[in-house]
Amino acid sequence: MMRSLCLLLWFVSSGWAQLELFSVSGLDERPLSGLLNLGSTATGEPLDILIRVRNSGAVAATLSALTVSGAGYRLHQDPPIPFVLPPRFSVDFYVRYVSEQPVADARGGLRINTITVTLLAAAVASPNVFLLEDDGTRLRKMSGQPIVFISVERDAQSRRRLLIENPHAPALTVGSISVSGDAFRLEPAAAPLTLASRQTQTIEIVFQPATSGPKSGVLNMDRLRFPLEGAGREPALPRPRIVLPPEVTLSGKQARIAVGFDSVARGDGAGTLRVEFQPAIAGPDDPAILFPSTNRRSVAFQVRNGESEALFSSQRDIVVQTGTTAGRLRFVAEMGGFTAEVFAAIAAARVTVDTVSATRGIDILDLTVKGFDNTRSASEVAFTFYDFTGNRIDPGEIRANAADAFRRYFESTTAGGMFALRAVFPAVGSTTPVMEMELEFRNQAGVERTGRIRF
Amino acid sequence: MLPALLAVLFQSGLAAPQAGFLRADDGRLYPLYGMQGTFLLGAALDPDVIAAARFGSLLVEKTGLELRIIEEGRHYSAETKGHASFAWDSATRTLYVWLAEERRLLRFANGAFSYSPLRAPDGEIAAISARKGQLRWLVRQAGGPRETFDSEGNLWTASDFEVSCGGRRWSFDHPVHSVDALGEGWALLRTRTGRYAARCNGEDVFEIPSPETP
Repeated sequence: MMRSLCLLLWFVSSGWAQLELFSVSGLDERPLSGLLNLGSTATGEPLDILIRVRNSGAVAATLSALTVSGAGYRLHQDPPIPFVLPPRFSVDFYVRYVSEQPVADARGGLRINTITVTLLAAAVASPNVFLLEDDGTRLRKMSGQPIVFISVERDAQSRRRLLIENPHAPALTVGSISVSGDAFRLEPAAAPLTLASRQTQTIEIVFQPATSGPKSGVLNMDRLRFPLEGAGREPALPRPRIVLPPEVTLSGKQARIAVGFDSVARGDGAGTLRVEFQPAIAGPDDPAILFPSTNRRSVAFQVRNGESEALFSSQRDIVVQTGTTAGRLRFVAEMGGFTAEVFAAIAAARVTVDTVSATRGIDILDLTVKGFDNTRSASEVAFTFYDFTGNRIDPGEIRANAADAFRRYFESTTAGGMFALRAVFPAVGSTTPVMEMELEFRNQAGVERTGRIRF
Repeated sequence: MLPALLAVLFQSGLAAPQAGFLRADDGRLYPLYGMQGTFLLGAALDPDVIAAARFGSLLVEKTGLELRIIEEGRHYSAETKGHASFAWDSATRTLYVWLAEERRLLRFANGAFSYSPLRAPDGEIAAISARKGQLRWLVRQAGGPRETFDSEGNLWTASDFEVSCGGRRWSFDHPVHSVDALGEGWALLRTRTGRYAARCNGEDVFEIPSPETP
């Protein structure tokens, strides 16, 4: 404990040297003379007063004697003697008083060269306070020393036990024991507490932060004051795992993906799910591989306390487009420092025909075929037309080599493996009787032949 | 007489398959490419384009002052004010354009524009449809269900959580705010949580990319 008192201003002249004495509290210097009353302290608790010696003369001064006398008094952080003080320089040290026994009037003396100052202090009977560790060891805590709690998840608890001991012969009453700070509480609330000589009492302080972040409080025990320190943290998020449906391995699908957790979430959080694509063929990327809800290849998800699945804007799954290119999809979920990944291989497949539309003219049949080729290798196309009686229309199967057309298209398209093929058939006579057709596409994965498509 | 089909001619060749145009919340139009299971947004059209549609090889765009048509590489334009809605009659190869501000029906066929003598019913025209020379009008009913024709003339109706077309019905988790024609028979269905595409002759509903998402 530090006190600042102003009792005596003492000048010591030694040649041109002149020593001035001060008691110091913070930035406040007070001249010191004759008697220095340090005040009172709790038994066992050090009472410190900062003393400053300044050479206000024009030549150097030497501190040749610096001593303290009296039971319980001693110097603390004092300079080595002899100690030379240049002009206008000063040196600081502490006078400390500490007593394990109550003393009403403890007198002592401070000597600096030829100067003497009478010291006065008192010690009030107080308990000893020990921190009890889990292994049974006891660590004495002096007033002002912090009691640190291990950090815990929000709403969880950590505890510290303190042993209060009366080390004195007469009984001792602790009038007030209290804890401040929202995250801390005392168990049991046991004041006033009267302890017989050598009697001990254990109290417990519970640290239970309602929110995350650093927390502080104070344990007050009459004139003893112990800072309390702890930190709350958000509960660790569970480990994510990606749940893929079977259709994610097929091109041209909108598949619903979920992100589950290895345990129920005990707090709120957020994460990201993304998809990456490694095409199995050379050529432009397939931009249709994305999450439609974001129009991107990543989507954020939320983690809610008590839930075992991620939420995508309140939905428990999210749609991803598998695109129209063979290759490998890599799904990555990241949350709470965890990363989960899963792969889906999209195999090369035969051409898929989505729609066929036809416009009949008097002497022309205008056909548009929409579909996709996830190998981007379509080469040969064959058309067979049928009339209303189901008979093939001459000349029968019309086969065309479209390899160059497809190659040029796929080299520059930004639509993945999707295509719209327009084929125009000049006809002899009306095309009205043309009722059905069959289509055949050949690519690297094989030959796809549609059934009969009715116009 | 039965026809004889002579040869296959890859006229216009290959292109990305268009599924129509999507209007974003900021009013801009985006070309939508794709087919069932795969949709892809193109770059936004010029901001002055307020309506657009594609019917096969015919592309039509409407600005506040002009109607522009591109067909087989040839460009046509007509000065017309205000918003427009379109219908394509594949049998007669005629484009119908309803000019909402002028309340007139414009036809485009064989490279020429002409005003139709047909008179529209009273009220706000929500959509038009043309099939084999027959024109149908859809008048917006105040407080009524949200309705539209798709590009194939099917009537779509959205009411609360349900959308119907022909004999099909789809249910959604959230109310359907609007139903609009895209192209190629697709209808665009909007809810609070997303945009979806469906066809009258298909069972599945597909989520489509949303351009506003950052």
